Amino acid sequence: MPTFEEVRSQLLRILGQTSFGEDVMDVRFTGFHYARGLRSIDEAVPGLAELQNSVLEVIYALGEKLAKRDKEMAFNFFMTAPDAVTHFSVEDLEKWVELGLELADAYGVVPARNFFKGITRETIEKIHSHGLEFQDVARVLEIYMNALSGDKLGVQEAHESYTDTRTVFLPSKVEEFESDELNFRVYKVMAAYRYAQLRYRSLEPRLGRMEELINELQQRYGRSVSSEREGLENFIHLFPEEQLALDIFSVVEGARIERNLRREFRGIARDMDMLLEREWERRPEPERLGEREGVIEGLMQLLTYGRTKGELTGERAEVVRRAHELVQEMLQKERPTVEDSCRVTAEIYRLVEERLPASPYPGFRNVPFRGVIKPEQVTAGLKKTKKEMAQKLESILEELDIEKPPDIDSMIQHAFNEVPDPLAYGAPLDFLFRLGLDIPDEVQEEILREIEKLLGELGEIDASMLMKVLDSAGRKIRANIQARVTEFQVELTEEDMRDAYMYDEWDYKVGNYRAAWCALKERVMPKGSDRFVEKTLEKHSGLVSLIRRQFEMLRPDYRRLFKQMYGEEIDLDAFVEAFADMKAGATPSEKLYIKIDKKDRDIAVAFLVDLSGSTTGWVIETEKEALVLMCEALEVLDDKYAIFGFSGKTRKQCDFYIIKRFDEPYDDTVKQRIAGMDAFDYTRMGPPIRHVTRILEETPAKIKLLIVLSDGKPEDFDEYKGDHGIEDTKKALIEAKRKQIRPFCITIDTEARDYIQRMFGEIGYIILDDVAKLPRKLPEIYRRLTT
Amino acid sequence: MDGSKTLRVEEYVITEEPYYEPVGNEVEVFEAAYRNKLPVMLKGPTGCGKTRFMQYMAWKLKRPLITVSCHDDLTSSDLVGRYLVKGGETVWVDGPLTRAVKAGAICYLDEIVEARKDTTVVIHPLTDDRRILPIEKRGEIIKAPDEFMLAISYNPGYQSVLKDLKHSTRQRFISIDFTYPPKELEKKIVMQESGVDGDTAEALVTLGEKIRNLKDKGLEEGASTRLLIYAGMLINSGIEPAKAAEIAMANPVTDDADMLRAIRELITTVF
Repeated sequence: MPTFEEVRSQLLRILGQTSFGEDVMDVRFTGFHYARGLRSIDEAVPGLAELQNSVLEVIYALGEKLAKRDKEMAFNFFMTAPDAVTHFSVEDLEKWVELGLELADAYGVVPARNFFKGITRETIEKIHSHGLEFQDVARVLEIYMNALSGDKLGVQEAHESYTDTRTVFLPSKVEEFESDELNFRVYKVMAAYRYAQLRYRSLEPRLGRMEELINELQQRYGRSVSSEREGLENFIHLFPEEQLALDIFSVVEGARIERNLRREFRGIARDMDMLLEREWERRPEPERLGEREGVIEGLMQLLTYGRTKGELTGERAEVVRRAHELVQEMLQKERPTVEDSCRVTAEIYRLVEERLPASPYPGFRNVPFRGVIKPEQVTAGLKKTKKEMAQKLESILEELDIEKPPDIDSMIQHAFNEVPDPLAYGAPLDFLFRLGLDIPDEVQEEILREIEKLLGELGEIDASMLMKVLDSAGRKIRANIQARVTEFQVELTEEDMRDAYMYDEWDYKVGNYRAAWCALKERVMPKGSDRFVEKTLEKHSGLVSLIRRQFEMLRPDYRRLFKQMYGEEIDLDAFVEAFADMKAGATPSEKLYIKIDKKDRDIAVAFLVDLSGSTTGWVIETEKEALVLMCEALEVLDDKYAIFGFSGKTRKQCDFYIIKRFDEPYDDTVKQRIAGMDAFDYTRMGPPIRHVTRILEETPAKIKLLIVLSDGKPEDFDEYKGDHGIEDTKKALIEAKRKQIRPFCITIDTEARDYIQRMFGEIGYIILDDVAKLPRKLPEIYRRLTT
Repeated sequence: MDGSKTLRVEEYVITEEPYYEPVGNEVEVFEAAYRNKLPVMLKGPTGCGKTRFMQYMAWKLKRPLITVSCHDDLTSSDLVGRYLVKGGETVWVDGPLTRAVKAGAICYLDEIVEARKDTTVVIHPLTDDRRILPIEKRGEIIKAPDEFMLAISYNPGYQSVLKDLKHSTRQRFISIDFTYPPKELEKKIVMQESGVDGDTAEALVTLGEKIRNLKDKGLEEGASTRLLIYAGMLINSGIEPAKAAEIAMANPVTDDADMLRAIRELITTVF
């Protein structure tokens, strides 16, 4: 054990002063508190003197490190260190100091000083955590990416950061910093960087815009382009040393898009600077690397930091200087493009090749947040998008009975090349039509309308023009489709119709109903486990009490209804008004009372659950859990409610499952029926909606609500799909609305936007991006709908 | 303070041109409606400029503007008028709607869905070609002069079934759709209204655009132009930009923790 004096002299050596004050102003104003404002290093001595010498050595070393940055921070550290060693190991002490230094880097010394004043639970948690996991922040990152890209890009974990133009891949873990907050910033910069790559078209160079260069490269290296590959992969493939070309490209192109990114997002620029500064220490000296990777490292450092680590000599220095010049020249241009980067890449490649001796190229490791470029993944991603687009286009053309143009792929390619903002909503396809297909104008307009519909951007085109177009295009379509209708004739037998409710089905091509087309039968849902409800309530116990509380607030208070014929109190306002009316010679109103009334909330709601085969597994399980929570919440209120399910297989078998009728109490039977809910066949939505409408019609209530829980488009085994299914469902909903029933749809199909709006209208639906949210969301939506 | 001044509502004519940037042809449409004596419904999300547009049109058409903010206790007497007793005498006092009709003003019923349904019915005879306002109590009918115009506003974004506009009411109006202005224009508006410089306005607009991308993805409604302007005003008064954006643009639009976090990250991305 060290003596007090030994400890004291060590502290004095490290800190160089005997006392620290935190607030000089304070000291001056409150003179007699002088001593309290300043703290002497003697205060730190007793605690430290209790420690083992080996531990003290570590603490001195760490204190020294801190003192170089800020003496007061180090002093606070010494004060707290004896307490710190009781919380964590000697190794963790180092982490603790690291956390504090990061704090100082990111926010300045003041918060860092405070950080060392004590050990909080938060600090302990941070010390014991090891890096930030992607899964922990996946949702935030997804929302973030959604917002940046306008719903174009998803996020997924991988072990590197890159993008295939459809999804942004981020590492499963970031352990760059001790603190998760800073680690998150690494994720954020990575995500924003991937966004910039797409936004500024970094991964989609257009070979057509650099034909000369391509020809030259093909001749020089004897390699050729292929339609199997997309632009970037093709370009890189032209070089004998593909990895070298790709690395040069990523450095050059990085300089171009980073400049744009910095301009667009100041905050990202700041975070990039912070990461780059930290990275500097880790960068190798270019001179110590092999010739080729040394040049790339040198160019990268020069472009990023404006200097290189250590001197560059000889040919290497010359190549880097010239390469840097080339990039700078390009950046001088008003709007440099990715094609410009390609040209510069080719020139630098040639420089390297000619001036530096050929040697095996081990590759180059860029700053982590810049990620990697995977040309073959980009090709795969773009091919997939184009294929989807071609399919969409073909299906539209087919629907319109227009012959498929032979060069559809090159047209799509063209649209991809010309579209101004690759991230704009539905851009290439939309643009394709604005550029003009080689088809008659009026049909093109008709297609445009389809496109608009597909993209959910209704209302941009003049309606009168549309009518004309529809007329001319419509005749063709009708003839085409009527031929198809007979394909799927399903005969109804006597047996099918016995005890069945018969419902019409809307045929939009003919513009009329098919009378008594569907046979719907009511079935009581078989009972399932009696433990399901209990388990659900246990699982969501916190949520249940929250929801109950929220619903209690919905419970109507006693409400004073003014100007009533009868009531408990006299309505003074009404009385004065009547008196004035009487005096003026007008007929006074007889409604002079205030009635105290509770029955203001008169709501009947029917839940209609899609039990089609696609809900098998955890979709249906989650729907069931959501229903349990919903019932718990509704029991708090006096709202009448019923739960039905539906599924079907062709028009002869529309099954309508009863889980809870309006007049049934929420009892064990109902609970077991919820547990028994299962996935069956297809989604023929029209008949069950019509049936619920009938049930609701017979239920007395001021407000009648129909909430449909669905996971996809209306679709049946026969011709009930595509527009037919959507139009019939839409018609069924219109019929319901006419009977003062308000339909609302909750769907978990994230692709639903284009058709759901057609059926439920602009505000009659909500899309959940994750089924898991349903138990929380369902009661919330109901609450919002009825307040 | 330069002292307040009391004016009768129908004398309140806007003499100074209110700042308004047209987004499409809404000004022409409104003028055409005015000439043809058609009632107008302004449809659009909150904070996108509906009320400002009304002030601008009132100024442009040189008519007084009478605005009634509707609430659920608004009765038809509140709109039309009532008898009052004054020292043993009874006096009839016109409501704002009656005064607007008499003065040939523009009457603007803001957030009409908030009013009780039976109340909205009194405007029906004014909205068709009769253009009359019956005052039952007095057994009178007021015929609206050509200058009178009725306008209502309606935000279809509210999803509550209890607050939907009746079709019989809705179909009496021609409707002008309002959305947030396009980027360049919104930037100009934010600069003009809040006094921030071009860069800050651009950053705010970019942020607004990104937040609006989240509508239907968990946000009920995106950050309105008004919120952008508020953020700009706070910045202009010395609040640090990221903090101002958080106060004005993140906190008001959501309570979902992850959503809030993501929006905060967007803010620190832009600022």
